Amino acid sequence: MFKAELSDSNILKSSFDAISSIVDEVQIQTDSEGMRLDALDRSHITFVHLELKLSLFDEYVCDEPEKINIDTDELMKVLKRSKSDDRVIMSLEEGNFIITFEGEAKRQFKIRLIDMEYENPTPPDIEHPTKFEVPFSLLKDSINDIEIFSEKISLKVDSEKFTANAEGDFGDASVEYIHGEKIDTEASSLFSLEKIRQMLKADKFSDIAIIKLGDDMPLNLTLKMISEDGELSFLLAPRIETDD
Amino acid sequence: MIKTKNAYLKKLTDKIQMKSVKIGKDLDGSTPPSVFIGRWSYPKVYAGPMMVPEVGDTSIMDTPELWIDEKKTQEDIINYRMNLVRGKQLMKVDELDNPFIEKLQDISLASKSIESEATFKKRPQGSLLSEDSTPHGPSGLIQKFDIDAVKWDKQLEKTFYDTDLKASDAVINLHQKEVPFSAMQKAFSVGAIGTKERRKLVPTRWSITACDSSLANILLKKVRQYPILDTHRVYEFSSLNNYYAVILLPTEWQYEWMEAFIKLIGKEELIFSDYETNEGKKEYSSVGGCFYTCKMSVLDKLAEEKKQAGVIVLREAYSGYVPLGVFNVRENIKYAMNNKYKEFETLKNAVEYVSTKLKIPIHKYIKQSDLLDELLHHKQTTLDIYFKKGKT
Repeated sequence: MFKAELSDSNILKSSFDAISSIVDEVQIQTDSEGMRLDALDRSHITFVHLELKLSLFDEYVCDEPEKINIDTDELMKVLKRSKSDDRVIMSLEEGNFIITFEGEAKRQFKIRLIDMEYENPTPPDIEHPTKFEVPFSLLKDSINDIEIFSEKISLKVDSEKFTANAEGDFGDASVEYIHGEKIDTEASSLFSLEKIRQMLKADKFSDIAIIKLGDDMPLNLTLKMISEDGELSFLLAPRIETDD
Repeated sequence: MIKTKNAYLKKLTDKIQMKSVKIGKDLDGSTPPSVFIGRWSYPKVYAGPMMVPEVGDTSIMDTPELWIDEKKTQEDIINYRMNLVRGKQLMKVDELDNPFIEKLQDISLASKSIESEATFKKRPQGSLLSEDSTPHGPSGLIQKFDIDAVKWDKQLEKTFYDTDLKASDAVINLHQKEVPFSAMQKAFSVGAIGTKERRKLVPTRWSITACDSSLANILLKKVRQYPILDTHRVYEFSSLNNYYAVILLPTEWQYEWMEAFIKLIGKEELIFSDYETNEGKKEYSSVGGCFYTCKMSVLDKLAEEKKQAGVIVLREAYSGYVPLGVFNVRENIKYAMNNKYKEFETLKNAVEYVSTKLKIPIHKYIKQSDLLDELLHHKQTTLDIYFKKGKT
């Protein structure tokens, strides 16, 4: 039997807003410690990892590990129907993933599970030379500033500041943030703005984003709940210059 | 300095004189079948049949799908079109129960040419050759109009009676049943497709782009689910004073259309382009309907092959080229995509090959382009090196 109850439906809504824009299908794994998913998008550019620990749930029962294969668009359609003060209850029943919203009324949705062979990608260990924190809202604003001029974004960090900038045909934009952390090296990589925008759809998950950056290395962006009960993280492959 | 493609082609078509068929106030002949809905003064529009002063099978005159196959020359096509007499009446777009419109619907659903008789208020005159339409001959206000009994096309008939079927679903159904584009577009333009309350007359020009883009959207949704091509491919085709090259890239869907007009008026060489990233495009394309037509035709092939790819299309139009409407792009791309393709390891190799076929130096295209330029200088890497262990 599997049953999990959350008092805040925004956690799921926010996570899957990002996840559904990155991958079409996912496998959510549940066991006695909580729920998690690992997924790589079709073009192998973005990897997403979500972890919701047992302690996050108001009620959590999972007798034996379950694999919930689901179409993320269908799940998102349902999650969009939640109201912000709804409680949300997830359970499984004969090939269906059941989502119940409890607020003024009790609303129940059944989503068909997909029958598929799924090999969960294991999150790789990548050693990044830098790690720092920035407010999530700042990151989101930077993207909005940058996208006026370009479809790619350069992320750079040095001992003092974190810089996001773009050069377009019609103008340049740059956003600087003094990170106040101990970083004794420099690193910079270029990314697709579209892909970053997909990740940043998860804007109600955490106020702080942890960034790991290297030179022409994947971006590691982690959103951690203050309570450490949940984590949503992404790996994004960089764009590289191919000029001879 | 000419800024837009539209302004340029207008300048070109304004210069060309066409000789259209001469007829009197009464016209005894047939309709291929063909209808034309103008867009001037919308939501009141000039709608009516197009007819020729001859009987028998005249369908070739308004079936662009046959022109390249039957090796028609540009002159043949212009000749067909200049023989088409456009009858018109001013109609409100929602006046679908008007008997005149019902006749137009009859024509649009027909499976073959129909004998017809018309009396015009005055002798039809002039001709239309414009930057963004398929040309036609003289036009005049129609006073009396009769057609023979009509046998409807089975698929179109089914669609006509299904008033719960959304227009976009209807269009993809018809496409899958291999109803020619020009036939579904005519039915669309006379309000014979779609849910009941939304049916209305749609100007011909708009109906073409509406059909192209709704097909393209549905096909793209499918193509996004397919695995990405593993190499670069180049497809080519030439006809009617045009050369087309379609480059497929091993990337997610993205698309750029580039077209050059070479010495059509004087010594000019102009390149126009537009593109969409994987996220799509919000505003209407600056190069007009051909952007959607080409997109639809390439996606049609990708969907058939169950492959996803990025797409760069380069087109050159040479001296002697006359704008004949977007069918030109649709058919040429369709032929290109059904031809044998050449494979290349890198985009650079593919582009180098195409450059040997183009008259304008490739660096001018690259300078004008957004996507191609970006793709040549930057590469989106993947996470594969980090997930090697997980792969079998």
